[in-house]
Amino acid sequence: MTSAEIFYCTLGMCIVSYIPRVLPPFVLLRMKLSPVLACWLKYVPTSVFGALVFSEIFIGPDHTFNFKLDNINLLASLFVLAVAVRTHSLAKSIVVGLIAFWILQRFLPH
Amino acid sequence: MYCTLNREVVRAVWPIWLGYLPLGFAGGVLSQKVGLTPLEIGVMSLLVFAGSGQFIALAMMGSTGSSMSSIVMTTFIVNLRHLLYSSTLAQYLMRQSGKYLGVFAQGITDETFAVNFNKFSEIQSYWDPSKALGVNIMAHGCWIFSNVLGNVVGNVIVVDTALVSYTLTAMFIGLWSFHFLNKKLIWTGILGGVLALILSNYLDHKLHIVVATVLAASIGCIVESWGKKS
Repeated sequence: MTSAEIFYCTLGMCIVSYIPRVLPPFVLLRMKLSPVLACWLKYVPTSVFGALVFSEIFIGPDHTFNFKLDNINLLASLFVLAVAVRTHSLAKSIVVGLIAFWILQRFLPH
Repeated sequence: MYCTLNREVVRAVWPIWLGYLPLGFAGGVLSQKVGLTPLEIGVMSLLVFAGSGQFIALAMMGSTGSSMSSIVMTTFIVNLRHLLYSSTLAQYLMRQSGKYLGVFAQGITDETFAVNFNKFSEIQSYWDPSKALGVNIMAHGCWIFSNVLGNVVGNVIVVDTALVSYTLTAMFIGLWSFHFLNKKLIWTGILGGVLALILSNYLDHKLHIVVATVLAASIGCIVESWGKKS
């Protein structure tokens, strides 16, 4: 790609990324939040986290599923979850998760 | 429009830095291989600010035969999920000026949403829009810095990409579990996860995340309304 093409491409990417980010607050704040929408929005965060986390854990780089028990992502995540639920500390959860992941990477064949 | 940049904000944003530094670095390395200058990847990181969006676009730029329109269209689909985040955060941004919303919106990503939503929804929350904007700006700054750095010194340092991407996964698991307030929220989240896995067979470019979320949240809401009626 030429630098002009890269520039226009970046500009196009900017516009299409910005629209979904900026429209909702303007639209939602101008209409009264209906009870149905409020209820729905209450369940959006947990659904998004579930979808992101499950995808990260179970889907491999080449779109293959990994449901085996030697899935390092899965095993390390159990440590993260245990620490997060017990301590409610994000810092401790991440540090324990990274250490677990690092150790598992070295001891499990993959 | 106020933006708070203090120790409290840094305490909230550091997990994002931990993830963005190596992730942005990896993106910068890729951008250099594809032929972008440090300025070009810097501008892209400023204007687009999306991890997977930029990675996919760079990969498409590098492969012959991807038209500009297909790159832009793919970026749109990959980043469509930000719609869900800004809709959810809107309830905490009442009475903010259009200028604030315009600037804040540019900083919405998976990670800044997760941290800000978590702070806003705490019981007796002391979080406010100016701190949320602080998180967005500090995360965005780190993203631009690490992308440019990766582009400039890319071939010198080797990054363990598996460990890197796990940092953000661990952050999401932690933030997710803090919202396990009742069984309905837990099961809706698990449903979202299972639906995402099933849908990933049919939908590309992270669209499965969007559809799975919309479906799971709707089902959670319907189940809740049944409980109220009986």
